[in-house]
Amino acid sequence: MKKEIAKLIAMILICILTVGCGQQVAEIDADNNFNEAQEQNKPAEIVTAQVKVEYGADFSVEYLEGGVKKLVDGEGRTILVVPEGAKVPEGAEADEILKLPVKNIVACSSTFVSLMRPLDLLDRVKGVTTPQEDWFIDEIKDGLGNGEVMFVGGGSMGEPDYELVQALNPDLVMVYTGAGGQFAHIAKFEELDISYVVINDYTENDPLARLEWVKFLAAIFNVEEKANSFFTEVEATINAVSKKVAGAKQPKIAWCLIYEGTVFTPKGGSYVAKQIAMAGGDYAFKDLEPDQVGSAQLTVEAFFAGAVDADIFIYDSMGLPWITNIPAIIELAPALAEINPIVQGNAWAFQPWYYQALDKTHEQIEDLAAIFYPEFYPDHQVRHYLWLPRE
Amino acid sequence: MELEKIRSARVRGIMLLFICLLGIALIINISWGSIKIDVQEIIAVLKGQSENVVHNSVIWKIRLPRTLAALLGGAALAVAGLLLQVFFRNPIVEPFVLGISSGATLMVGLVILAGFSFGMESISPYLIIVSALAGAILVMCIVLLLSLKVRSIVTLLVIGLMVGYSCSAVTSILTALADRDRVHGFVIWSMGSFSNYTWDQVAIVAAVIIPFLAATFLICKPLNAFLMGEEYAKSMGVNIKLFRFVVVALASVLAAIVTAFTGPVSFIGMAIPHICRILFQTADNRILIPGTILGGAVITSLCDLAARMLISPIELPISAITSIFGAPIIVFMLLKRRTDMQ
Repeated sequence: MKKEIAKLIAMILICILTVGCGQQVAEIDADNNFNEAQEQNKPAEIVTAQVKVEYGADFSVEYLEGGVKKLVDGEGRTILVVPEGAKVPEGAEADEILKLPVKNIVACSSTFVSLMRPLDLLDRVKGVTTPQEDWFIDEIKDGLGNGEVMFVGGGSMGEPDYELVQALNPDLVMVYTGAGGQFAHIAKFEELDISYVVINDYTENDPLARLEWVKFLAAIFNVEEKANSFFTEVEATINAVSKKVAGAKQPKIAWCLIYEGTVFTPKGGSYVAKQIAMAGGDYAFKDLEPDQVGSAQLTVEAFFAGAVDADIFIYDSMGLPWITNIPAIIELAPALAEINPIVQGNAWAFQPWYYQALDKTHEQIEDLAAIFYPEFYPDHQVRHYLWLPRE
Repeated sequence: MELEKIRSARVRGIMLLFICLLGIALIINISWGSIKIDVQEIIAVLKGQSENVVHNSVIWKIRLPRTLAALLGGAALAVAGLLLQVFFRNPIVEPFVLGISSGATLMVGLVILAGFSFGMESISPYLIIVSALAGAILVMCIVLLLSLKVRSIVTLLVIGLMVGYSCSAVTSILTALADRDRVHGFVIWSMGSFSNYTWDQVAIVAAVIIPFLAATFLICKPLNAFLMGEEYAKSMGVNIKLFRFVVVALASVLAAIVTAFTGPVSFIGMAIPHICRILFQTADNRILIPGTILGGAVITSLCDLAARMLISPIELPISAITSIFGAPIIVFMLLKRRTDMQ
């Protein structure tokens, strides 16, 4: 009896010690948070420009008196952005009151971080949910290495380590919602009194509407002018691409991701379908739920039927293993060896940084046009897609 | 007489051990985390004497609600498992054998995978919880109704399994039709986690679990009579129809409330009653019920600690930890008992 109890205790202690070892690795000092209060005593930030939602992105920005801004985020929540020293307008109701300056943010998606790059705001990112090895934005990768940025867990849509988030004492956390969203995080952030905004760029049906969320961020950080000039440049690039390829014979494009023998292909109403159209492509599955966003599941056979006579195949690499050659595609779905673009060797895949380059949407569309119409872009260096060799 | 004394001492000893372990589990769950907080500061925080905002928040709003949720959830699942193992006279039965988890999963699948918001503007944590609860209760009602009509316990078990399979089949179809973001979100939910518990949620869970656990003590005697067979229980004056209803209702509600707020948590419901039977060396439910409550609470809270600490800050699925740590313990104990008997 005593022996059994002793053994049970020993087993439990082993478990505890194992856990304890994990703790030592993860220890951080709570006092060493990134909320540098002294830096916040700067003059009030003044609104110098305004942003306008033009592509129907699912947010709004309204400019009130005294530099106060009324934002509605992806979940329909009202956020009042109040400049330092300014007063909240009387009678104003809001789900969140955000006092400027916002210096310390936690981004629960790497896509949000990419939207902060053209606004020169990467130094405000202090916590991320993607580990260092998966970053392709140098400032964040380096920051994670030197301790200026903290990995707070929560990768692959899992739960973040709320203790680490709390220790960072962020001015703002950026999350997304929707069916596959971070709805569970939100209740916890509310209990922790941590301000958050919902950025649902991924549910937009237009690449420009998706990118337009940069204006939402600009309104929060008072950098509207930068957002406007960036967005104008992006629009100009995309318009120039569409103009260049207009009237040419459109190549047929097949686009998918394969997981466990099932093919996920963008629906006809998705931003991917529109992106292909902007670059002058004829999307093979444009009639697949044309009023729906996101992706649809197809059998390999159904995808084969639609893609067999395509001209170009693009593989949407979501994560490891990154697809770097045609045999890797064939390994995922042997039947695809027979589709025309694979036979012709005209297959491409995303570069690993693709999903951390939302701010490079115009470059991605330009790349697509160059892939679709190499004759129009003889000297173009494709940046965000990788041509897949036969071996 | 001497043997009885030894048994009684053994039971008291193990109960005392469990109570001590419960205290230890509570302390280390509150003390350990990604943020280093020294013992004096923890005591100051608990006494309300600390002015450190981060420490207060971490202890009061993150560690405590989570720890209490794990203790309550573990106790509830373990007792639900014990009740059903006795009821079905089957040691591999677990709380979800009656389709409770599958019903909850189906309803959550309808929300996450199929996008049904049941009239709400958007998906919220509460919609997920209410959906899971509704699914679990719906399945529970079906099984309860059938328990009043079906005579054979085995038939009831098979019906429960079939209801579970049907729910799982519909969930599989929903998964097959959903896009990848939705599938990913659903998979995350189905892994189960105590990490998102807020105080409001802990209060709801406690308000259901504590009275239901207390109620299980009231059926200790009929449960013991049932161990000897249905006919024997009848001869002892047990109203079998009512007894069936009460056992299934208690087990189902306990499993349903945990699943709704945590997601499916495997292993605890099946394994803890085993561990307790081996440790206490008895089938007496007057001992096993408090034993499984304590054992379930201790092991689940320690597993939850491991889930959040092993590769912190990444959190591991709670069901994976309960199985990885628990399964070898059970196998070891079973083998040890056999060796001892030989």
